[in-house]
Amino acid sequence: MPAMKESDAQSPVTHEELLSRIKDFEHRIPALQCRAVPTSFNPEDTALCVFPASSAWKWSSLEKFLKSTGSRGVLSRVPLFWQLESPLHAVCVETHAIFFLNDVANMPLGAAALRGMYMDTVLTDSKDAAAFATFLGTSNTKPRTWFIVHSVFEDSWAIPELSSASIIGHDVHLFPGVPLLEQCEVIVEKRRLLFHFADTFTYEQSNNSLLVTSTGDTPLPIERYRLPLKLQEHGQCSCGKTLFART
Amino acid sequence: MLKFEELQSLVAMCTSPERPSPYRTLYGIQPNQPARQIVSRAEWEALPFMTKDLMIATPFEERLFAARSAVDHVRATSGTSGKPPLFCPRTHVRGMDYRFDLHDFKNAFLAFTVPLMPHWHEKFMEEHGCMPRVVVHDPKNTAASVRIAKAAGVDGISVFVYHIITIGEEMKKVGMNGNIRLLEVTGETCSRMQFEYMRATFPNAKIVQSYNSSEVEDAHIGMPCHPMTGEDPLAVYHGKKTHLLELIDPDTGAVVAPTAGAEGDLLITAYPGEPSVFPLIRYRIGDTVRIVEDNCPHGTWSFTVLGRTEMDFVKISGGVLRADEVARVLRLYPGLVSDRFELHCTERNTPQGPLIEPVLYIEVKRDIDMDSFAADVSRTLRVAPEYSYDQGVSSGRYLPLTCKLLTPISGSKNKRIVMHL
Repeated sequence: MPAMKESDAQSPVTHEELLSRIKDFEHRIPALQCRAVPTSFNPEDTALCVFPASSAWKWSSLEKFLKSTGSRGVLSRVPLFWQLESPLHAVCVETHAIFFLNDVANMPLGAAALRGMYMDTVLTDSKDAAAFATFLGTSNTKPRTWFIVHSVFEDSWAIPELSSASIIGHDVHLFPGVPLLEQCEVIVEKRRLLFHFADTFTYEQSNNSLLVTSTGDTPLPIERYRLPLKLQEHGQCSCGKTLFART
Repeated sequence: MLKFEELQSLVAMCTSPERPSPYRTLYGIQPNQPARQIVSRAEWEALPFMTKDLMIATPFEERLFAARSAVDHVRATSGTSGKPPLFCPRTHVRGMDYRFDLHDFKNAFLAFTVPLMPHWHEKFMEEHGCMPRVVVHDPKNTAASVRIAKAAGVDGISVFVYHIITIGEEMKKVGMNGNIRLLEVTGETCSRMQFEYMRATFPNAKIVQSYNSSEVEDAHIGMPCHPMTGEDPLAVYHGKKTHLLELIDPDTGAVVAPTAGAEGDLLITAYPGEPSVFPLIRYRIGDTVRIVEDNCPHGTWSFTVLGRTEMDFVKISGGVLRADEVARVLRLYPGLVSDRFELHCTERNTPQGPLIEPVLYIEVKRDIDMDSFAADVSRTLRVAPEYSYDQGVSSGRYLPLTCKLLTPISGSKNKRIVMHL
């Protein structure tokens, strides 16, 4: 996605300001065709409010990952309140992968699904990935691929517990189901923590920080949101997009 | 329900020599023999029952009666029976039009993954010209789910019976319990106390219970005959057109005529039509039922579920109380108690709604402090892989477990766990 020229049309929006706008907009959600998603990955977050995400959104990064890795089945361990069941199902229909929702508290069942079923991809968050990989290590079960959904607010996106033999894809979401950064097939193959911006956002540089603006027809556009982390351009990817690394 | 001609075709299809089939194994058909053709009702009734053990022993591939691409998702049995999990392939939901007699589906819906997957609810809404909006209920994060449900304008709920109290309490906190107009519950048989709680907490809701099982590809096994009114029996079901329900004598396996008042074990044959990934033929589901009407308004017999035929577990909020787990815990104290026990569970009304209160009757080998022993058991007893009964007490989900001396209580040698509804 090309970088936008810096604009002075609107001041950069902080996270607190964004949440305030979302909260003010919440009362309109019942009348809208949208996906109601939480603005926090943490269910205990007292600031959690509800964002009206585009109902037209397709989880293209996951779709590309499943296609490129030839996944036959997805074991999902992401929290149900993230509201990702339906987008995951849509991707699985497209890729002919079957999916199974594994209760995060029932790791033995997840391990059984990986051993005896078609499940070869684990979809989860970084904290659970570390815990589940450790658990699976005790039974010598290794998923062929992992697809990790990170929060943009995590301090680090590295998960040392994951086996280097596995193929790992990473998505970084602003809110669950609102991807900001994604990896193409080339990055996944190189096993590096580099990212492209998702097509759903454009970005611009502003005073040493990155501002992002949502694209497309969304019920509540996000405009010039100041990212809560530092990203640095890391050259061009052979896929043609700009690479970014966390600094 | 399925007609005899449809059953004949189903048996022939499921025993075709063109593909491996657990039914060929079950019916003793040799590899060089053709498909089984049944010509009489007596032959049908002589077919051996499909069992969970045979399904577990059959590789997943061999249980697929359709192309793999027809599998929409997989779910697993809950493991409450103590057997290894059974992974069940599913296609898509059918035969749910009755729901429109209960609700208009104009607003968002809060749904767990049972009996219908959230995307099934969306498909149902879309197919009926409604805006598909479903908020997924996360029982581990009820407050967050309810927060989203409120913002989305939810006015219908579809969850397990035992989710209702935590949802109800959260909805009361945010003042949306009065908005709910349809409450669909499934899972364990709804108790009188649970029903009264739902009635009081969701005064504007129609309340219906359906009867389901993971093994059955197209939910429900038991379609709700009518909303629950408080009249006994609370939940009354009838079979759907794509199923055949039979009643059998639990001891002899003989078919019992479905006349009002008759009781027996339920057998289910389920074939939703194409695509179908695993047609079930004469599957003994393990529940005892009683016929309510010979001929209900839906043109078939109706029934109510009395409970598990040999209940060695009780599903509770956040987990399961299992007899084998209780025995495991008791064996940790070989000098104090034997592993003989009866666990009697009762619901008590509390300010948080009805909560389970178990009493564990044990055989002691010497004098012990029952209160202290009960506390030890509570801390050690797992209701989920990483969740103890004591944790549930601490979080307000359950009332404390107590221990008493074992005396003959239920008189049932098969039931070590008894739920008093």
